Amino acid sequence: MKKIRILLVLIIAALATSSCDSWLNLTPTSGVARDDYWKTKEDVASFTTGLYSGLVGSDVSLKMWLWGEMRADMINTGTWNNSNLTLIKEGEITENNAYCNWASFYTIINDCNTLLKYAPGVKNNDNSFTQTALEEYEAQAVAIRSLMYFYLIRNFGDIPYTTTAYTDDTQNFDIAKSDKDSVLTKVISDMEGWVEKLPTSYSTSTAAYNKGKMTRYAGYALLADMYLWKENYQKTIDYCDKIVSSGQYALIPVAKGTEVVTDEDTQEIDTVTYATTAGAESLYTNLYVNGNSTESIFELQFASDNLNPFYDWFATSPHSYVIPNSDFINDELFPSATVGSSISQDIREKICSANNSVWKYSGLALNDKTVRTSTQMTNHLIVYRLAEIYLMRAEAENQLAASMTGDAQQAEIAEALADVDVVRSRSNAVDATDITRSSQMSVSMVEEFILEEEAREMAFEGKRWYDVLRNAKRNSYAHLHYLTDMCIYSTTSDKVYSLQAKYNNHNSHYLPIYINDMKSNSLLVQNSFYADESTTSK
Amino acid sequence: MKNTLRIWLLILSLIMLPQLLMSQTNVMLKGVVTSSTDGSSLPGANVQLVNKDNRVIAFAATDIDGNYSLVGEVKSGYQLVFTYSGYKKQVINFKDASQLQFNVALQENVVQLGGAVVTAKRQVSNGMMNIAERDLTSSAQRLSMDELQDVTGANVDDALQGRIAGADIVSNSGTPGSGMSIRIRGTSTLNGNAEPLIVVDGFPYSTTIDSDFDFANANEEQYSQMLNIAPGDIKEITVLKDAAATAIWGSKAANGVLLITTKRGIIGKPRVTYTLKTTMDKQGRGIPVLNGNEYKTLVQEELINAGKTFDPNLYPTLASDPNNLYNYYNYGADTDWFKSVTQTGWTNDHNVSISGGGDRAQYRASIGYYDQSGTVINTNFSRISTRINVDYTVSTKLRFSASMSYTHSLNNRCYITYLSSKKDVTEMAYTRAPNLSIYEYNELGQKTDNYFTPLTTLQGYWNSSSLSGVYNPVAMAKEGKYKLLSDRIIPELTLSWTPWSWVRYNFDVGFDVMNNKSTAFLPQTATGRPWTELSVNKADDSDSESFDMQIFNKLIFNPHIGKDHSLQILLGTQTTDNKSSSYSSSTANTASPYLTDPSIPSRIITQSALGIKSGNSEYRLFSAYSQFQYSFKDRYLLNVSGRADGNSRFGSNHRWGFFPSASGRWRISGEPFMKKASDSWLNELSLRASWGQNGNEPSTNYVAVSTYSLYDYKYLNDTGTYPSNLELSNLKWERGEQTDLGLNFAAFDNRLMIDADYYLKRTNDLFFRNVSIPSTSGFSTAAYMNIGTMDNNGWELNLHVTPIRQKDLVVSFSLALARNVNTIKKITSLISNESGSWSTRGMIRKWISGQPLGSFYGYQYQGVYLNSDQAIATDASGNKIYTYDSSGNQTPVKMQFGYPSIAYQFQPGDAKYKDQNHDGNIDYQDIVYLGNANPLLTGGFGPNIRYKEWSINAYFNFRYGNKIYNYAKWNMERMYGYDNQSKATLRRWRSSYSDPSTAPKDLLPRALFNQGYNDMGSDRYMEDGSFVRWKSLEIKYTFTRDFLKRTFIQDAYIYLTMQNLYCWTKYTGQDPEVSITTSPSGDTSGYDYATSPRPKEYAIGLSLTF
Repeated sequence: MKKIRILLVLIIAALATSSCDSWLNLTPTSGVARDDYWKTKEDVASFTTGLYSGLVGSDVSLKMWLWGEMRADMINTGTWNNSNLTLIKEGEITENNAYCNWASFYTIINDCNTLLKYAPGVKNNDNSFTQTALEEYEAQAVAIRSLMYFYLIRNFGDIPYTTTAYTDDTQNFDIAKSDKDSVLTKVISDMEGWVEKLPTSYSTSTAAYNKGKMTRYAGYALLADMYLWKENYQKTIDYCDKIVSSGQYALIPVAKGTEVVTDEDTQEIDTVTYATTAGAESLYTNLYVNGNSTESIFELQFASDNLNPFYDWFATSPHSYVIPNSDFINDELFPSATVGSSISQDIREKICSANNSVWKYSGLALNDKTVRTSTQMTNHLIVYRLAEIYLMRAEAENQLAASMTGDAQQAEIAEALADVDVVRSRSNAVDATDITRSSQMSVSMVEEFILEEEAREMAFEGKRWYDVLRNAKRNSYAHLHYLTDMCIYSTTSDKVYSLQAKYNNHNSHYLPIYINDMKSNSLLVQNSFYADESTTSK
Repeated sequence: MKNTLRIWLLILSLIMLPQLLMSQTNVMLKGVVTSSTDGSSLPGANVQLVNKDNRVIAFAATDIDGNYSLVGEVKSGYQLVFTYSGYKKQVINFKDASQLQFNVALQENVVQLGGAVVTAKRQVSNGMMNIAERDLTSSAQRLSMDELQDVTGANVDDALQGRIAGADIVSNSGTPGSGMSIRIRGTSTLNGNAEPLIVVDGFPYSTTIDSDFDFANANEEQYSQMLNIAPGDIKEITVLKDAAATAIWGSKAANGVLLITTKRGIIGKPRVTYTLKTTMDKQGRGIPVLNGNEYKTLVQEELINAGKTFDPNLYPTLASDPNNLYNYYNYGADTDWFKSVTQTGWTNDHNVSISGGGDRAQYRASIGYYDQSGTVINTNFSRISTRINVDYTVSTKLRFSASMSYTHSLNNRCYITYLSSKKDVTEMAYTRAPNLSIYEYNELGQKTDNYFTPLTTLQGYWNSSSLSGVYNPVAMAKEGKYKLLSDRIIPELTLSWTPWSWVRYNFDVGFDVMNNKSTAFLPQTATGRPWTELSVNKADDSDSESFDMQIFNKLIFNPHIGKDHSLQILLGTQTTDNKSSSYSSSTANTASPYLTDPSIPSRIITQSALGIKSGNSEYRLFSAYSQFQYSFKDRYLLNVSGRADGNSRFGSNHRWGFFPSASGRWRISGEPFMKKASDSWLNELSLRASWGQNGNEPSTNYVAVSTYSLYDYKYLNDTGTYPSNLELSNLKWERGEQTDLGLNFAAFDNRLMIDADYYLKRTNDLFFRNVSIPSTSGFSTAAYMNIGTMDNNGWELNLHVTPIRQKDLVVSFSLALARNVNTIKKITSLISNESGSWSTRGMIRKWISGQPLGSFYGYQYQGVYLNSDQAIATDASGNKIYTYDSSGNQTPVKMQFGYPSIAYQFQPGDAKYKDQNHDGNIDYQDIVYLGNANPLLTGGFGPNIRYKEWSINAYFNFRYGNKIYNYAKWNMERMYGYDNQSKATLRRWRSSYSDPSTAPKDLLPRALFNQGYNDMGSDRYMEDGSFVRWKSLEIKYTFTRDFLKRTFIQDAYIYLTMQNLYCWTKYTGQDPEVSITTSPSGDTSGYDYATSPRPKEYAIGLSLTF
């Protein structure tokens, strides 16, 4: 009997161990489980920082630059093997091309949506979390999300738009594309609703905080840019005005000197103004080397613990992925000035390219040509700066003039030219690149002039493709030639003709949706230019 | 867990309690023990007083005069047992309680060898319960290690290759220390864990480690050597194939179970055995590659063909300018990189074991030392392994056994292997530009001792932040250091208590403690990068440990229910708790390449790659199971089992799984109507049928929890958080269901034995790892998803024939044959069911319902466009297609690739693909099915001949009917970049052939830098992977006892073994035996990466027993 009793004890003991489902409930220690997060305002603050950390991730930040340049005429492939880039330069873009993958942008969009979903609930847990503080975080999330969507609209056209926070596999991930105009309208209205909730500054002492985070002015800049894309010029001008008149920003001044030019007979013919070497150096150092200058509105902050992704791209020249397209830069952007060319030069030429490399990013000093080493790739990526705001406003004013006639039109054009001149004179732009001024300027002439000036000023800053495409698509592709003309420089000589033919199909101006998404999302329809049956017939 | 332990301690004390409570009346027993031969006294003889359960009550040993005395209780049924080594055991039963003096004369034990015939039934264990092999109702195959004890190789899996029908074992590569993939009855999971469960002496053995635990170097392969039980310690291996046999192992058994039983002590005098094996590994030559000049010519041609003007200033490394002596010598070399990083490997394997025991205790202890130098320079592997097995019989009711194994291994590997487990320097050696010198020449053209490691080369540079890139393979192999130190202790205890003859209680507890330390150092000399970069003098040191505890409780009932019936019932529970943790530190820029430890003051740049990291992870499993084995009249056998598993890796909705099985066997040969045959020639004829289910779990922890992680860098001095994974609350068990029909046949005194099985195996809720999901969700992949259903149906045949069985000559032959048909039955539309697409370079894989896993798709290659005339599009009847240009002239239409989005016009010298639909455009409509990676037949065969003292074994293994994607050929014949290419590219197209008949037959397309579509996946790279490999030949000589009588040696033999002697195949690559694994990134089964070819091995060995 004793043995039977022992046996019973054993069986009961064996069963006792089984009755605990909670014993099988384990949570990781490498992070916080979602159920344990979203409790305090510090959680929200840390998550908001995470949104910016996502922006400076190597894939997003690279594409924010690359998408603006890879199909344009500023860059050429270097000696290093980058077949995806080569194919894009040749116009042979397919849905397999890794540079068409938008995944990292949607990751940030989802992070923004996650914050917008969970942050309001934190107030119930943490009494010290004020409504104002909450709205500041929410406004930043909306602004970053809008920025991401704006990049996607410009590159892919019709895109899926979602404000759902995806957290687990019970949700339906399939989502269809929305029309690009309606997405832009939605993004603009999101932004309009929240932009005033963005703080005008985050710090009174450290400039970096006001440049590296989404301030209200950065929000205005984004809105101005989006309205310009949407061809709503008055709104663009309004938001540009808010930035310019805020007094928060100023173009970095460049020290000038003058010299009297004489001809062979020592006859005085002209007085030439030139930018001093030190002046150019100071502009280069403040704007591009050190960053967070007075001119900057929003720039992505890289640091020694998170280097920017551009070392392989520019700094190892000539063994690099990208080299400046010297034909375009020398022949079109900065043709040599006829008079006084030896001293009077547009300083932007040597700032943007030197040593066969994209000097805005690869150099440490302008005049002695110090190259950044791999551990020194801490320069920031400027998203918006004041010079671009002037040029945006100029473009908008000029387009507004198109709807006017007579003196009103000429007055509006003059305002546009005045804005351009602010930027031009700072860098000592030469006469060779100037437009012939007269009392009867045509809108289209000025349009082309502004586009060229945008190329000069914003060279290699990830803007060129958008500037050309925006002008080309204006008024239902009234000026497609901007794109087809660009082919001469943007691709290899044997591909110019075929690329021009492709550009006649307007859908080819947008990238294909990357293959992974085409295959996993049953509601997605490929951009018809790239579509084939294998991915559309699902 | 502590509570559970406490409960067990309590139970143990309860068990001891009855003994303590017994009342005792002690008496003293005395006597003399002598030898019956000469009457001399026997000093040191054992005298035991045992009770009726054979438990020892008192114990004494005789003194020098043979006298003994012991104090104990005497009752009826008690016995006095006398034992002395070399003498027969004598037992005295107490009849008269008053007799206290017992004088005993022991008889000498005369050993008669070869006379005994053992007729016990061979028992097979399913790891839980022992069942006689002839009563087995499920499909299992046992392999005794006697059959393959002399096979070379460090691990068991190497020896098993090709010997078990239905088990496809393929080595991942020829690199020492790299593991094997084992598939039992095909791949039944898409890319979940497809390896079988390995059970050693009843305890599941972990061979993989949680990937999120092993963050430091993401190196799963280093644990493949974890199955490092010395082959000499293994008694037998049983492969459980059908679900009825494996269901008892529940959630981990979906891919089959491999049961390993180690040798234990046997009663007898101590036997000491020493074996020595020395092996030479001869590395195969590999793919021949271009030399320096051929390479330069090729690259220049690539650039010119791609419209890039070859500018010697932009490409100084391709110019040979004798005025620049530095470049002329350093970039004008002709280096055979592969040869410079490989060597002949040597292996020494020593094993000593001692075993023996008496009635009560048996022991076996072994120690082994394995020392291997790899075929890649500066790699080696050494291992000390020990194992002790002890069994002690306390009484007939109480037994316990204990075993302990300890392994210490030291592995020096390439630094590159530290960064990526699947790589070593031979990969770079293949592709490194051969015009680069190993050592640097100075400006005067004199060779120096420095490695030539320019900051950047055309091919790239060593990238500090991604820790990968281009390097000098010799510098990396000689200077980079990666040392892996591993200690593993596995103690196991089993207590078996039999209160009545019909019930047994088993308590098993096993621990598995593993410590790994890896140290790595990358000196400046290995990469030549500037001192400020974080990969320079980078020192890493990481420790990881895992603690695994498994507890089994089993009750086994064996009731006597009549002569014709036999019944065995098992009830049990299993709990598993695995904790692992790791810690690592990394610093960089130590002051000198000789300061290799991170503890030395050095720069800890605030980079995410450096600093201190730690991590830990836990896994738990609880199961309850039951099994019934019933037989009626030894002819009708039935087995039913069920197991319920709770697993911490699933979310609370899908945590528990139940896995039932049923199987039966009908022994026809036992039927009365077969009596005549059974008595004369038939030994066994049985039919088996079984059905069962089992499961598969995800291989990583915490997939059901959404984790918020921190970025490892700061933004404006703040640290950011992000959701790092998608919560998988819908994830279910991957469920396998299998039906099996089998036949066992043995006849003519077991000289002909046939085992055959037919099975239908279906896997539901297939796992798919790292599934691409719409990236608009913010997550590009989900770690796991249940995506569909897959079938593996097939048959297996094992044949063993012994045509000659005489005293001096035995000839036998064995054959294992298996056929498995894999079919995907259903696949969800949620996932992308193909990897690659029509415009992808490389092969396309698709998973389509109704088709097998591992299908290849691509274009049909038709050679090269020899001239521009051939590049004109033709219609179905072969006529050229014309169009009219703007001025009305007739112009031919060129063949195009991917019109309109790509619209590449084929040029002379480009690869020609078959235009299936004759539209002049090569695109998705021209993709066709090219074959699949699954073999039609696999197996092995070999004769076994013994003549007197000589024995010869040969073994052949084969695969038939599978296709291989020769990835190595694709990679080495692309002519698309700066990587060195194979010698075959010398046959490339270089100028138009106006007369196509003058063109050579095996012409390759032209070289074209970063352009064109010459390297699309096509049948050019698809090859028949059938092969027959002469796997091993062994010649063995056993010394006769007559010869050994004069020595102190009892048994001795020497042998010579050759491995991988020859391979018959049509395959043009290096080795048709390619990996069958599918990687998480996609289906890579049937890919031939050809990093290191399988070496030929020559081994001599010696075994001595004292």
